[in-house]
Order: sequence, then structure tokens, then C-alpha cells
Amino acid sequence: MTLSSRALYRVAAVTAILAAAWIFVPRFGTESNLINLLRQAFLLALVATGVSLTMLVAGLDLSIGAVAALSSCLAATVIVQGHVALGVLVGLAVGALGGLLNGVMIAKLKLPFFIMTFSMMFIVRGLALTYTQGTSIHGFPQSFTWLGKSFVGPVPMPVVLGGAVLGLLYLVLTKTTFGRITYAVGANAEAARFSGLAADRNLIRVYALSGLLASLSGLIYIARLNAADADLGMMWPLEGIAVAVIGGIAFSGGEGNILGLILGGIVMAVVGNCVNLLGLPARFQDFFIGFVIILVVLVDHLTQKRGKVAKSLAVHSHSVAKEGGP
Amino acid sequence: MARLVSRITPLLSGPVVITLVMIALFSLLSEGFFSPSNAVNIIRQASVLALVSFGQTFVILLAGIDLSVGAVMGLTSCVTAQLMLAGHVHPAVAALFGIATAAVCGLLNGMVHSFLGLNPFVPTFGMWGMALGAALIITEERVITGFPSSLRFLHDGEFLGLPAPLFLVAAVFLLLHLFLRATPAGVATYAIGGNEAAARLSGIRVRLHKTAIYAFSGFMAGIAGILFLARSNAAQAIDTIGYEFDSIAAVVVGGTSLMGGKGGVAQTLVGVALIATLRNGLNMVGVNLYLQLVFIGLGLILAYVSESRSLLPFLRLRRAKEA
Amino acid sequence: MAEPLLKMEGVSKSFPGVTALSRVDFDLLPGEVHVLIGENGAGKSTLIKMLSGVYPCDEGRILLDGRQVAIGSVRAAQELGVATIYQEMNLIPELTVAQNILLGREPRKARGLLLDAGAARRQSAELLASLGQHIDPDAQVKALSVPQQQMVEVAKALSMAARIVVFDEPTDTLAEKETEALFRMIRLLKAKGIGIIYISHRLEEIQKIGDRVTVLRDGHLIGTLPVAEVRLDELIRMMVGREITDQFPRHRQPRGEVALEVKHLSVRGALHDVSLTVHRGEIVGLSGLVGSGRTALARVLFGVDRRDAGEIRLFGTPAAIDSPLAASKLGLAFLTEDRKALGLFQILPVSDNIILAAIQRLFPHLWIDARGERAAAQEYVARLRIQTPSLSQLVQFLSGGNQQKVVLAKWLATHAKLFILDEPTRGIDVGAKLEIHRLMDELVAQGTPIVMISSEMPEILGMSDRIYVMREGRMVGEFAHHEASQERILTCAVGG
Repeated sequence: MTLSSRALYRVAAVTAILAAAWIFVPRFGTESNLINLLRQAFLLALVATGVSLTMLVAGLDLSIGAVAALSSCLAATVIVQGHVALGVLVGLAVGALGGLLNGVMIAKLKLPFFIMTFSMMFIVRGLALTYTQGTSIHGFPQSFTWLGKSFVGPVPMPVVLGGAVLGLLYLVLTKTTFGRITYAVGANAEAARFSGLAADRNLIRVYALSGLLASLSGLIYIARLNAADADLGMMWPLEGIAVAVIGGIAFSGGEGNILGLILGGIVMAVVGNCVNLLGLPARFQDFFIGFVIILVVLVDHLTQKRGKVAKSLAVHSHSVAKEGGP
Repeated sequence: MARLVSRITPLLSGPVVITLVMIALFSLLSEGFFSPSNAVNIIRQASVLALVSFGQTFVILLAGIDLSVGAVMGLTSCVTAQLMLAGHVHPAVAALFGIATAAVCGLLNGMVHSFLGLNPFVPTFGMWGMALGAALIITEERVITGFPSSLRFLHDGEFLGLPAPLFLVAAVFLLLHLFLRATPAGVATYAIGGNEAAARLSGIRVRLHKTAIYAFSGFMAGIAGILFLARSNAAQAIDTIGYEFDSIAAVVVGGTSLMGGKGGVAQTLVGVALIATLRNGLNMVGVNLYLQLVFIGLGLILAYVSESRSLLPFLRLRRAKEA
Repeated sequence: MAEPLLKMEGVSKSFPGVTALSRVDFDLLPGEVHVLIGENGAGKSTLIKMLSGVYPCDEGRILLDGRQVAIGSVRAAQELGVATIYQEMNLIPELTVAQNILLGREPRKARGLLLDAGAARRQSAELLASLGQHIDPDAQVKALSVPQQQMVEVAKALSMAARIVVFDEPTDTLAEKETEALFRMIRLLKAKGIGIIYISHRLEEIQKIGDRVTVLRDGHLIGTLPVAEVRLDELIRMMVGREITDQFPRHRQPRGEVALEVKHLSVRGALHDVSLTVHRGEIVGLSGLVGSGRTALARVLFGVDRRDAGEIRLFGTPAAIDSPLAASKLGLAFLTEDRKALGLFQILPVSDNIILAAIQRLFPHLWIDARGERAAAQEYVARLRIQTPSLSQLVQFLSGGNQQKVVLAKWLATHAKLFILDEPTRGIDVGAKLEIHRLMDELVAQGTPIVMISSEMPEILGMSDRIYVMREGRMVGEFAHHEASQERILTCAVGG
């Protein structure tokens, strides 16, 4: 996938932001700060991976935070007893199953993705909270917290893991048939069907993957925090969407480079970081994030691929073609 | 008798039936459920959601969405509280100012969507962040208390033995219902949501109308925020986060279609009643607080399916059309 | 002789590569029904769209009541008193009849704040009654039948003081009784002095309802005659009486084995007892008017719609085609009529568009190697001479002809064994048309048969080895190449 000019604008803009921060914000350029920044950026990007995939197919997965919470709490119970590998597997499996359920209901039963993932959010969060009864699970063996706390040289492990996941996703999306079909389904689901592609199967896989990635992010988070709580990821759907949008993934589907999530993560992390360093109270962060999002999308919109006709709000199902008509 | 039946049957939509069934079920399972005091409880609990959901209804009728309402509610309550506390402004004026702020937020949402053509997800999502941020800034992330409590009557007050919020919600409901059903602007709202091109051709000023509706959604969020303030007697920026999703759930569950052009505040009232009854009932029955969320999620799916009655999955292929 | 309501003088309109109308004159008298006929692509809808404000004229002028007007938009046309009733509903399904009729102009009470529902009901009922209709003003439009919805649209036009009402193929979806009702209503409109332009391909209706008839062909005015003075076969001759000078690149092949056999295929509401055969080495043309069921047939063959009865055999074996996925696996290819919406991925590059349908065949092991991808796409770009600055150019920026070539390339890449082409050269310039025809010829020579749906007479006659004609969901004629002629096909198609 060649780098479009829009992607270049994005990279240039982020570089400019970084440069500005470097110059104007005290202590921004210190090694420890940059490392923190990097870690935060990649953690955010990781969170955004699943929901970005669903956005690529013109959908949305609002349940990622809840799925992360449930899967990591279940995994945690196993991990505290010393079975790290098993725990990780349990966590990932739960995530994938949740995503699978989303995918089947959306693709086969034609439930609008908004309703389905929204309801899942309640159901899964409820299950997680019921399971833990509000308590937290902590005390993980070092062989697990390593995932969140260790370093590879000067680079924090979450960055390495995040980078690896993003790199892998990039390869999958650009170099595999699955990835190509995903973009096609997002670009025009009806045309995909009329071309003999298994669009429904692809949708199910995408949502399952979203669940899997959510649980993966959850595991890395709890490894870092050394504690698992059922209220993990409350803001993840919104934060993930923010990162995706800044990174160039469009709601309308079929557009966007997954590596853009790194840029999105960096922007989000930089805003938070600068707010901190400038001595501004943390509350300014949300304000700027909101502002940045609108600005980014506005600029994007003015250089849009789809031309003047804005696609209508895609909160309903993936099958856009309606009955009736000429 | 037959005429009575035939007039009532269309009112018994899926969500209404589910609500009635729930009421029956909970009454059987719990002693205290079917009592006047519990009914008052439910009404009090549901009133904030009802108000903000009414605003959301209008937006969804246009096939749009407003993700900012939760944060805007919070902004309103924080602005009002701070004005009363730090600015020593009269509560009524402070409240008006708070509501005005909310309306402005909605107006901005509407303008960006209608005139710049952005998918409503985006400006309302961004506004969510900005409103939350603004609220946090104003309150310096603290909980604001100690302001004059003259607004509390809105929530705690009683007239004729009925809770004050009931009157507020009832009055607003009747006004809005009348608006949607009996005014030209109300019909225009359905028209735009049903077939925007046809609406435009009929001379309806679509962009202006849409902008006004989003401003209205902000306005309702403002009113809900004031009621929320009255209830909690404290203002904290993050308290109202979540109402955006709850209001969407209430609207959709009640039967208003996300595709626009179908539904209304009456349906939303049912949706709010359903959710509030479910929450209250599960509480009374002693279901684990956390487990309630699971039921709410399941209830949402059930209500949606019952309303749309779409089990199209089993007809995988569409019927052929004249070609 | 009354003053014409409408005069269109020397009106022309071109689109890139195609001249849709060339100096056409048209006029309409008050109280007359002026029928407009011509084949698909003759220019009828272009003429109407200029009157209703969708397109501006390139040349010529339009006069209403003797005054020249510039119809710059659809609203402008409405305000000038021109109402067009299309097949696509311009109504709001969830609202009532009265609400739809008076939308934007509702009667009010309480100083303009509230709707006066009673007055609205009365006014709508009056309007409908003046059309001979008694539809309940409080009924929801979506609950009405199609003919009833049509009536509501006409009532709406009346409420906007329309003086010219254009009907675009109104009887396509109507049964006979409903058509009679429509005609009664049109006569009532005539009595009010309203001028009516009536587009139809149902030639038998012309005598029942028309006062004058205008024939267009290939964007030119062929003639305007009083209905009383004209015969059906004469009309047909006027519609198709062109000299076919186009040469079509066809090398006739020996007829091979049976590739496709359709027996007694029925789909409720669309197809009735349709049978056809396609052999290797031939191009089978499917002719018929709009609404005759050709695309419906294609859709069933490709698994988009389900059949209610009948059998499909591919290369001798019964085929269960229950989805496009299954159809593709069985070796079918379907170029849809609407290539932009259903055939292409507009925001994806040319190379993606070419390889997507065949992606599982080209890259069976999940991995796509860049070189292989480039080579595959390049092969087809070269072979079909697709003009694009690069393989990564987004397909939406290609010209119509090149877009169609991309769609063709997409299906060629799947190595399909039978091609169904629905209007393969519609809206494409002459040069690209020729190339696509050449490709079709090559394809057939290599043993891949083609079913070609086309509304262009020269193309049908020039490219097909055999021609089937459909009408109203039924197969009504079959011609071998040497027996076919424009008149015979059209006569079959209109049921004359």
C-alpha cells in the first residue's frame, strides 16, 4: 500500500507537533519523558487496533473495553495461581469468543452493529463486575508482569509488543487476501458480495479479531498495572475511536492505514503529556483532544476520497442496499 | 368492547409489552415493587434520563446521533454550580446560563454537521471531549458543593403528593409530543429523516432545521443537567458521563428507528420506562448490582428485535424485483 | 389553435463522449396528452430532465406560455409549474397521504403555530377526489399500493399548481385495471387544462390515451404526429429505422456443447416460466424493454435472488446457485448494469479492483506477493488496454469506458466459464465500445459463452449469435442471427 499524500500530510503534521512540543514545552525532550510518551502512545494505539478494524469495514465495536475487562479478569484468576501461559490463552480465547458473538449477530442476523456492540458492552461489563464483585485481582508473577513492565534496551515492552502487533496487522491488512477483502467490504459491501466474495465471513472474522485484540490490550494493561479490575477500559471505545480517527481511519470504511494508529497514539499521548508538563491540570487534556479530533476530521473531509456526497450515518447495518427503488 | 381493544392493540408495541411483563414479573417476585412509593422512586430515577433522551429522540429522528449529551449535561451542572458558588449568581439566572451553554454546544454540533457536512458522529464526539474538558477546567476537577440549594426542589419537591420531576417530565413530554405531531416543524422533522431529498424539494430548509434540532438536543441536555444537579446537590464533571449511551439506548429500545423518520417522544418514554423499571426491579428483587448490567444489555437486544421484528437472517436471499 | 403551454426549440445536450439530444423541438398544448416514445437511450429522459431542472441545456431554449425561461434547478421547475412523476417515489413513506401532499405548505391554525389537520384532510381529499380517487388522507403512504402512491404524487403536483405534469413510464408496475384508473385520472387532468407529457414504451397505450406522439431516436427528433393518424408498425419503423452502418467485430464460431440450460424458471412477481439455452461459442443476446425481466433473470442466475421454480444446469450438471459466492465458484461472472455501485470499489486502486474477485484463485495461500499482484493486474491492463496513469490510481478517477474495462478485467481474472453482461457498453464512448466488443469476441472464440443483456438495437443485432426477447417476465421470442431485424425484435418486445 503506497503512502498517499494525505498520509504524508499526517506524518508531517505530527512531526510538527512533536517539534513544537520539543521547543516550547520544558522537559519534553528528556529521555525519560520521551520513553513515557512512547509507551503511552503505543498502549493507546494497541487499544485502538480492534475498533479500527471494525471501522475499516464501516462498522464499530463499542464493546472493546468491556471485553478487555472480562477477559483480563478471568485470565488474572488463572495467572495469580502461577499458570501464566494458560491464563493468557484463557484471556485471548474469551476475547475472541466475545468478538465472534458480535460478528455472527451482526453479519448473519443482520443486527445493526451499533445495537449489538452497545448491548455487548453492558452484558460483558456486567459479567466482569459480577465476577469480581468490584474487587481487584493482584499479585501476578514476574513472568507475567514482564509483559508490561520490562524493557528491551531503552524501549519499554508495551512499545515492542504494540509495535509488533501493529506491524503484524499491517502485513495482514496489506499483504493477505483477508486484508484485501476487508478493505473491499468496507469500501463497498454490496459490490463485494456481487463479486462473489464471502463478505459475511469476513465481517465475522473482523469482529472476532477485534475482540481478540481487545483482550490482548487488556492483558498488557494489567501486566503493567499488576492488578486486574473489572472497570478496565471504560473509556476505550471512545479513546480508540479518537486514535483511529486522528490516524486516518474513516467511519465510512475501506480507508486508512493501520500504521496511522501510531500517529494517532502519539498525538493523544503528546497532548496529555504536554498538559502535564506545562503544569496545566489534567482536565485540559480532554478539551484539546476533542478539539484536535474535529480539526483533523475537518481537514480530512475537505480532502476526501469519496467526493462531495457524504455517506449517511452508518449506525445501522452493514448492508447498505435497500429494497425498492427504480 | 371490540372498539376499545382495536384502539389499544396498536399501542402495544414490543417494548410496551416487555415493560408490562416486567412489571408483572417484578411485582410477583418482590413485595415492595408494586407500591406507590416505589413508583415515585422510579419516576425520580428516570426523570433525568427521560429529559436527555427526549432531546436525543429528535436527533435520531433525523437519522443523526448526539454523542455529546452526557458531557454537555455535566458542563451545565458545573457551570451552574460554579456560578452560584463562586459568582454568587442567583440560582435561576445561573440555571438559565447553564442551559444556554448547553444549547450553544448543541448549536455548534448542528452547524458543523449541517453546513460542513460532517458525519454527526464526529462533531458530537469532539464536543463530548471539549465539554468534558471544559467542565473539568471549570471545576478544577473537584466536586463542587456548598452552593445554594434552591434548585433542589426540582428534584425533591412534591406537589399534590407527586414528585416534582414528574410534572417537569410530563410538561416537557406533552409539549414535545404536540410539537412533533401537530406543528409544521414537527412534520418537517419526520420528513427530513424519512426522505431528505423529498423534504428539500418541498421547500423545507433542511440545513437550518437540522442545526436547530441539534441545538435543541443540547438544550434538553442542559435541562437534564440542571435536574441532575438538583438531585445530586453536587457538581462533578464526570458524573454524567454515560448518559449519552443510555439516552441512545432508551430511544432505540423505545422503538425510534436509527435510520430516521420513524418514532417519537412517546416511544422514548416507553424506552425510558423499560430501562428504569428494569433497573429498579432488578434492585428490588435483590439481583446483584453488577448482574443488572447484563440484563440491561440482554434487554436492549430483545427490545430491538421485538420492535423491528426483523428476523431476516433466515431469508438469506432477497426477493427478486422487476428488472 | 391554442397557444402552446410549452415549447422546446432546438434543444441539445451532450455528456462526455455521448450526444444525448441533438436539436430537438418539442411542444405541448394545454389539455393534451403528448406521448414521448423511443428506445432506451433515445433521449427521452434527457429531454424530460432538462424540463424538470435536473440538467441545463447546452443549446436551444425553453418557452413557457411564450416566455423564455431558464430552469436552473428542480425547485425552479416546480415553481414554474412543472411536476414530474418518476418511478422512484418522491414521497415520505412514514407520513400520511395528507402530510405528503401538503408538505411544506400545510394549512395552519392558532396563528400559524399548529397544523390544521382538519383542513389538511379536507384539502387532500378534495384534490384526490378531483382526480377520481378516494384514498384515505390519514393512511400512511408506505401502506399504499404503488398505483395509489402514484395518485398521491399527482395530487401533490396539483397542490403545487402544476400546469405541466410529466409521467415517466408510469404503467410499468401497474396491472390493467390500475392502468385504466390512471388513464381516467389523466383525462380529469386534461379537463383542467393541464398539459401532460407521457413517456412510455407500451405502444398499445398510445392510442388509448395520447393526442399526439413524438418519436426520438439516438437523440434526434424523428417526427411528431397526431395519434389518430399513425399506425403501430409505422411507429416501430420510426423508432428503429436507422441504418446500421456500425461494423461489429464478430467472428462466428461453431456452436459447441450446451453451457447453460434454464428450464421453466419462475420467480414470483418477476419471472414466469423462462427457458433458454446457451452454447459454447456463442453470444446470446437478451433483448426487451425496461422492466421485461432481463436483469431479474441475470440476478437469479448469479444467485442474488432465489428462484421459486425451475431448473438451472451448467455444463450438463444441475446447479444449486444460492449466492453470488456459489455462482462465482461454479464459474459464472456477472457484470451488473450499475457498475459504479455494484461493480467497482470506487475508492480502491485499479489493481485491487482487478484482482479482488479472483483473489482466492490467484493467491490461495492467504499471502499476496507484491510482484504477483502487480503482474496479474498489469496483464489485464495491457490486454484490455485500460488507460490509467498507474495501477494504484483510484478507480473512481477513470473514465466510464475504462471503468467498465476494469470490471471486465475483474471477471476475466476469475477464469469464469460463462459471462453474463448487463448493458456492457452503456454510457461508454465509441472507441471503448469497440474495444469491449472485440474482447467479447475474443472471449467467445476461446470457448467462453456470453449472455448479453442490451437495450441497444445495433449491439444486439451486431454481436449476438442468437437473440431472445423478453416481455413482462416471460420469454416471448427467439431469433437466430440471420432471422433477426430491429422491427421484428421490437415488435416482439412490445407485444405487437
